[in-house]
Amino acid sequence: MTCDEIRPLIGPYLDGELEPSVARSAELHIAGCEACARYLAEMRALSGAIHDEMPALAAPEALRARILDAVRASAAGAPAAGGTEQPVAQRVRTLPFGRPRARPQWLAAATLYVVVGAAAWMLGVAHGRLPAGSAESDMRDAVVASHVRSLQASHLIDVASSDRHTVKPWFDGKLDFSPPVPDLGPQGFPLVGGRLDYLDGRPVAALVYGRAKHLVNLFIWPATADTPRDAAPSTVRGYHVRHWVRDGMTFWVVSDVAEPDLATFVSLFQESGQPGESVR
Amino acid sequence: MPLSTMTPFEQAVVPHMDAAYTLARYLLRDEDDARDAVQDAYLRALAYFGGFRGGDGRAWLLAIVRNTCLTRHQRSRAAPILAPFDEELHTPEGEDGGAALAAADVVPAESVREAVGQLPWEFREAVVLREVHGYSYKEIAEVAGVPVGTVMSRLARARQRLRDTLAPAIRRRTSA
Repeated sequence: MTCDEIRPLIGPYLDGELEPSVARSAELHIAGCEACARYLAEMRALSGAIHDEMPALAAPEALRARILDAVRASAAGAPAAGGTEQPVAQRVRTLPFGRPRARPQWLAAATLYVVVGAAAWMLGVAHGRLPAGSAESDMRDAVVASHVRSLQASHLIDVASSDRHTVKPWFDGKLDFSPPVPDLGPQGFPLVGGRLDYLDGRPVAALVYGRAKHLVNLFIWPATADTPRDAAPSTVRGYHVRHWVRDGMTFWVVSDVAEPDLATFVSLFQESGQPGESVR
Repeated sequence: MPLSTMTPFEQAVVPHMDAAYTLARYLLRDEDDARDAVQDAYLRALAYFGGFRGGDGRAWLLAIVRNTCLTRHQRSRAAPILAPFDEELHTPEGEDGGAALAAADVVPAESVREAVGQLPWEFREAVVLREVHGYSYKEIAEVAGVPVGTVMSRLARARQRLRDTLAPAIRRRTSA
């Protein structure tokens, strides 16, 4: 092996990342090559210097205490205390991860409970909403929270492109499925870009389309047996939400565009005929 | 607290707070920023814990910490929101890699920490995870969300640059 071949291997050699046979070849070369031996020594010294000057640190006590409070609060089903991260804290509260909650003495109150529950259900249906606490309304809240967060300046787009041939491949390798990414620009919904988001406890594709000065967030991930079926259009905190399942994919779309515009968007998207597919 | 009364989150994720803080502290230059990032990351971890499929809770947490720090880093640099995050475009050194690194503006750094802090984000996270956390290439790839080959080339280029900026300090060490 030549010096040019050995040099790129010296880092991985030091890191113990070379195949034993390759490591042996590298050692043989280094033993007979002063320049490569010096390079190895420099790399080793660099590694040592980083170790010395950048030790592992301990989390400050105040930080530890704040986090432990939040962890315990979430385990107890209460909102996390302290307000700097309110949107996330709110979301923590809305997500259905195991929160043991004190049950009322429901045997005693069973009749009342059922009546009130049924009334709430009917009211909810009448208003195009499901009772709070269902998997679907939890997911709806989570989707709207994601939409709002994406608009809060920090993280709307990972890949910015109006070209579906740029956006679609960008998701390759980042997700275990390939979302449909139709071009709806000619119909008045230009593609703005895409990003990775987290919903339903998994990474999902978020596509962002524009409509005049408004943005549409479309979340896509593979449906499972638990996925709620198609839902009636609804409105949460002023955002219109629609949900459907098709070709094994679950779709949630959120926007502040007018409701008829969102309906148009959904029809156009569904008629684009692009299926999503699992890649694993 | 006895193990039996701890929630799965407390068992799998909470113990790695020091590793999380260490990563945030070395990725972000500001201490307050690092604290906020770790707290934010834990809140996210709580929210996403339903998606944790068991296994290495530390790598799972550090991936969230890393993403949280990256978001803050981009925000603090006032990066345009619509900046594409593309592997090719996102490598600030341009396409010719090593040559540009070796030749262009090599400023001797006062300290190792400063030199690492000056590295482009992708290089910095690879170096910190490798040298400080002792992560394997595979684990780094998991946290950074890139292929192992990319980790390898980023580390090689990062070290090349550190070797150049820290040349005097390293020479002292090797001759000592």
